[in-house]
Amino acid sequence: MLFNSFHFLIFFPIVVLIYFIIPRKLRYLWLLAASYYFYMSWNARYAVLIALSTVITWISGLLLERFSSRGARKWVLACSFFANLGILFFFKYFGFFIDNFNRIAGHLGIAILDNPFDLLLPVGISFYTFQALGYTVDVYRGDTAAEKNLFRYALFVSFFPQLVAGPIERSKVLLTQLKNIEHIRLFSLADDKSFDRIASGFILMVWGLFQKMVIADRVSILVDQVFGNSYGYGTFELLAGVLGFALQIYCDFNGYSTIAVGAARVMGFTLTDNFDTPYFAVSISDFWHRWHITLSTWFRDYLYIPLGGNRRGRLKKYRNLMITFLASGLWHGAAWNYVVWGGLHGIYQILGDITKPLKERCLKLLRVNTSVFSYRLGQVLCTFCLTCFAWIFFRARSFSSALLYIRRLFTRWNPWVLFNESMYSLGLDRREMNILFFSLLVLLLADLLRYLRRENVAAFLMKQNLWFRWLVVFGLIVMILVYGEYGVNFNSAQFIYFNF
Amino acid sequence: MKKVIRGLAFCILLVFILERTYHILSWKDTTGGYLSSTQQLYATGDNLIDVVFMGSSHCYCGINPALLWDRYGMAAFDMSVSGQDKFSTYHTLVETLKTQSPSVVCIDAYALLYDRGGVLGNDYRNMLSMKLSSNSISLVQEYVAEEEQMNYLLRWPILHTRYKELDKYDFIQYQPSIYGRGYFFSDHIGSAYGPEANALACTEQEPLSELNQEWLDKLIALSKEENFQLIFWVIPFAASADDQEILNGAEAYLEQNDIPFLDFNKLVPDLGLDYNTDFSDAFHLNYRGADKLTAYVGEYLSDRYALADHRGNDDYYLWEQNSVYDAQLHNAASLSSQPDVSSLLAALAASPNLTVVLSLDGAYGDSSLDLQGALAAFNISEEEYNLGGKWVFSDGVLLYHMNQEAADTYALDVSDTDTLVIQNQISPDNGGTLGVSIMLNTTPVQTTNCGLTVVAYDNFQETLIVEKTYF
Repeated sequence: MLFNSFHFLIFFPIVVLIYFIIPRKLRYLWLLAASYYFYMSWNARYAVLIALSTVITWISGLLLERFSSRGARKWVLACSFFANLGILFFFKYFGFFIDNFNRIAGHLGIAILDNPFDLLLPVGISFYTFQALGYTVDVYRGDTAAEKNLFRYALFVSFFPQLVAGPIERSKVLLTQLKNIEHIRLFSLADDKSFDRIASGFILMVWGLFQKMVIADRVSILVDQVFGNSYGYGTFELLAGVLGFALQIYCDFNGYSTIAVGAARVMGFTLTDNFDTPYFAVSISDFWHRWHITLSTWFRDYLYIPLGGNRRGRLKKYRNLMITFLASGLWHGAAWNYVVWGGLHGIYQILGDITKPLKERCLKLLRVNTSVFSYRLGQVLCTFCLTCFAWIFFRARSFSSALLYIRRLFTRWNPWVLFNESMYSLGLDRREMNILFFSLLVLLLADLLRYLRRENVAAFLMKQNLWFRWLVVFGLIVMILVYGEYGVNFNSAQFIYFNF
Repeated sequence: MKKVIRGLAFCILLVFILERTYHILSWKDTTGGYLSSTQQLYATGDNLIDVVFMGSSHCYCGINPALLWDRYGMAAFDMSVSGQDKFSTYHTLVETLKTQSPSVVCIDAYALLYDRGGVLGNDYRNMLSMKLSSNSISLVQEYVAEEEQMNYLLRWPILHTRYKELDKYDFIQYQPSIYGRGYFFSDHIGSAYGPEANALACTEQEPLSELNQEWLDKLIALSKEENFQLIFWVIPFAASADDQEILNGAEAYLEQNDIPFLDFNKLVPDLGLDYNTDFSDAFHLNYRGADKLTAYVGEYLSDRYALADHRGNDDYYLWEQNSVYDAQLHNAASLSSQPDVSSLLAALAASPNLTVVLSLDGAYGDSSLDLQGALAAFNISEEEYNLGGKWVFSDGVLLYHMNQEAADTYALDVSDTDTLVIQNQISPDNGGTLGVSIMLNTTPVQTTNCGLTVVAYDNFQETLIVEKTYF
């Protein structure tokens, strides 16, 4: 059930309405049932996997709390990781493993293996597995208490707004709120705060849908055309393709996260913001503080720091960085292009760190003023270019496709396509392009607002006078209904991150 | 000091940026196949040209320097521009003489028939192609109305509007505009009828106008000053009796000055020109006509003037390159006029500098044509024929073969900017049927999926020259 489907349009109000009126003690059970229904609407059988993962980590939590010996606790933690990552490996990486084994076996003349399983990747498996494992580690570290109530814990793992594409919530954030679910003041006509919370949640959902349906799904037409036929295009079409993908994945994923945050807020929960104007980042490390924040912090807290972080010398720091980013790449998909994408981000950071003294010396020598807008803009543009370059590996069908794309990008120089009608033959005609540019202007304004005033769209609008708030919200809704990509002639694109 | 360096760096950078921008926006003959005789002249080394042909489009469509090179090793050049009027002819010749010392300069007398062309495109061609110099400034001052002169002298007021039409050859050099020798190849056969019946018989002479006399006198003076033989001629076109009277007047005047005057309108039977096949329209010869006229001109010049044979001299590599280019153009024209599939494939197999795609699709076996026999030219066996599919050849060498049923894509970069794409795609929207296509970049070339499709890309001209399907 996609957030931008008619199914969800019916599902969500019903869930919320019943959630508001049922006895407080039943709230979490109702949300658990709704979450499992939500998940099972993709593939009912895979609910078994999420239930299995839930039970394993729930029991692990209880055992971790019960055992006091360090050795036993470590065993429990290891077993939990082994079981959960085993499931993840089997469903997500087994085919990849077999393919690579066979490739090597082919070179060595060893008999190749048959893959007896034709597995469909369970939606959101990487997200809920990481959320559940994060809980286990938190209990192990004593950062959070084990949840005794299986159903409440099951809701933590399967909470439907963030189940299939994050944000990957920490137990301290979401489980704590779920424990207090009975005390959440949902809605009262006499209570302005609850009304404002629902209104701002609704605004966020509309804003997320706008990003997904008007921008991401529109620009995806161009991106699919260019990446699918990259062998026929030159530098500027390919540049449009990669810029388009940078926008698509941002609006797609940020759109999803915004809807998730909005939907949770309507129900009285506060989820972590997953994005903070990532394309305004001034360095790659800054980018990872702004992009998919909950995954970055997960890897930081549960992998990078346990590996030693940056505390054990420069070489080990670089090793840890590379391991973390390669793992992050692999988390995104079972293919080498994702690994390369992750590796590139690791290399960017290492090179940035190595060349930092040289860069500072050059800046000093050339007396570059680093406190002005132009310097920051230069940093933002450099970071954006590096990010876009890495996106090529992320979006391409395979590693070799990415190499072909890059080779043509740098060798098939064709600036004339900017001056004739060629750019309108990439799937979006002049009218569609105009809609896209206008929508991107709206997005830019929203991101500037966030960047400069630290306010999201909902917070900004809730402070405005009614006429303006309504004007914007009505405008967004009409834009979604008229210019959104849905209905006839539209083959609905899933949210990109559902695949991870 | 630092500020001076900074100021200097700013100026250098600004000049560089403006020069690059100007280069992109600079006048190019977008409707004339991007050919520019002025650019070709500037690309030519000093003192190489022996014979210059001046004139309008009649000249660059009628005289082919490549044939003179092939036959006599003559270093000839068409310094002709569409609508080259009297002012432009004179100043373009002056521009040519800055770097060249021709022995013979042949001028198309057609310019006597008008003073200013009145076609804006031709004005641009003549006024904006030359490098800025006192000569080009004089041309603008003489030709252009005073209130418009600044636009032509500064050029940016006119050229900046080209941002709307910028295309491939504004950014990369169109190579024939370097090695071409001014000739424009046309294989179009158009309606032509020759001069009016009473024009050829006309013996009346109209006295020279003041402007015409001044023009002829200046050219005669220039020929003496620069020591070249001046020849005037009329390249075949649909002249009226009025035109002929003016031309007769000029002929008489030139005879008095011992300047040869050849009226090719009157020599059409001697040249062997056929109005049904040798003209692209009433005013211009096509390549067949140009071949005939050039053969005559070559004989005329070689009989009368001691023109050196430069073949084998490395300094004349542009003429060599132009000769290959011209052969390629002739070959392409001959390929497009092949009567049947067998002769086309035989000709393609024997042609150099080509990438050929052969595609056997659908029920090609039901064709009434002997497709299998024709494909023998490319050594495609009966067994391969029965399997069908696509073959890609470059200069006769097989590069790739795609089975008819295979869902696959093959992309071949045939030039720096063109990619030939051969694709078999299973179409889910069409019941899983196989969609086949041949594309140049992303533009479909193959229009049908039944029969034998023949596509040929000319690697030298960087363009498609054959797109045919036989069934």
